Amino acid sequence: MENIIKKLKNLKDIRPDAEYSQRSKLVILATPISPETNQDFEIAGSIIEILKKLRQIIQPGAEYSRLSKLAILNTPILSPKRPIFNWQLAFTMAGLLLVLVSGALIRNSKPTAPNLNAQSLETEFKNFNINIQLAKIEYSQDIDEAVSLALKEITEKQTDHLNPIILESEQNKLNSESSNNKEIDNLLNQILL
Amino acid sequence: MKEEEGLIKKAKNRDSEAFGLLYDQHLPPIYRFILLKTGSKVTAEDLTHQVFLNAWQNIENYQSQGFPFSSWLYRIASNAVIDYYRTDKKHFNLEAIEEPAASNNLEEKIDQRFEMNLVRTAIKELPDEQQTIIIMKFVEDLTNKEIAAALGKSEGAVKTAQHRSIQNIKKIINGKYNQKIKES
Repeated sequence: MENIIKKLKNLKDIRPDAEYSQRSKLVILATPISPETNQDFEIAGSIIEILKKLRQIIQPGAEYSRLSKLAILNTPILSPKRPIFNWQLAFTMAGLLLVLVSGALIRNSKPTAPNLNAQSLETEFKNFNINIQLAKIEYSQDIDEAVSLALKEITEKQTDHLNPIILESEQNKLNSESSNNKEIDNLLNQILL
Repeated sequence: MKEEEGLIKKAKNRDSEAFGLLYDQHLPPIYRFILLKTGSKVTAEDLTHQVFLNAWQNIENYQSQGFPFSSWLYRIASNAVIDYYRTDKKHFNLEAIEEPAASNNLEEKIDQRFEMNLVRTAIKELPDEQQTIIIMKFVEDLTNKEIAAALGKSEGAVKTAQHRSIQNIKKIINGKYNQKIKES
């Protein structure tokens, strides 16, 4: 055990070759230190400039552009995918909807037009009867007045105008004046013609 | 805007010339949007074509409601990209993207390409919505209102997401940049 420890301690005496040490030291010290930090800044600062240059440098080929454009413009246009409109189905659906709506309207007996309202019609009908009655009353009143007037004339002997003798004499009087009338007629004809 | 409304009205009446003008106007941003999201030129072309075909076939369904036509197109494009990833998960392929270099200097060209790729890969690592916001806001310069309309979100939500997106992309880019430096 003591022997092993002694041997390990002897390893401490291992030294690099003096010539090697000197040469290595010189090479190391002669090597320039790479200016990483400065270069970092330089390249990072110019990134945006380089990116902008890419715009000028990268261009599509003229021949490619020409052929591609020709091919695109000569490609038949696909008709846009539109839902197919079925007129027959639309009309059927509309008819069905109409039937449903009218059915619902019939079932729901509330009329939408006030003229068809039963209550208002009844009121109107009642008022109509009253109007007829009022008209009847008015008519009866007129008749009554005429009758009472006739009766009054009879009772008060004011019925001379109804006397046949007087009426006949008046008729004769009119006939006697008819000659005058002829003359007048002639004159009138002259004027008119 | 009024001119565009007139074109949309005509296009709704199946005026192909009017739709052609709308196509010319909106093709580049929609293409960029899809390309940055998919990373594949071929896929971007296919999906962009599909987006405009859908738009042409369904333009009568578009209703302005105070939002520009582009918001509607971005929405179609977003759905197209989502469907694309849902049906078949593709790999992001930066190498497929070819772009004209902005500089004539070789060293600058390499730097630019490196930076562009870094930014594109960083965009791809963002969550889907943050990608969309980064592209719409910083690449296409859309207003928050337009972005909100395209995403179906409130302007407030867009502002918050925008801040988070730019912080995230900075973090991702810095991480990638340091890694590349160490590797080289």
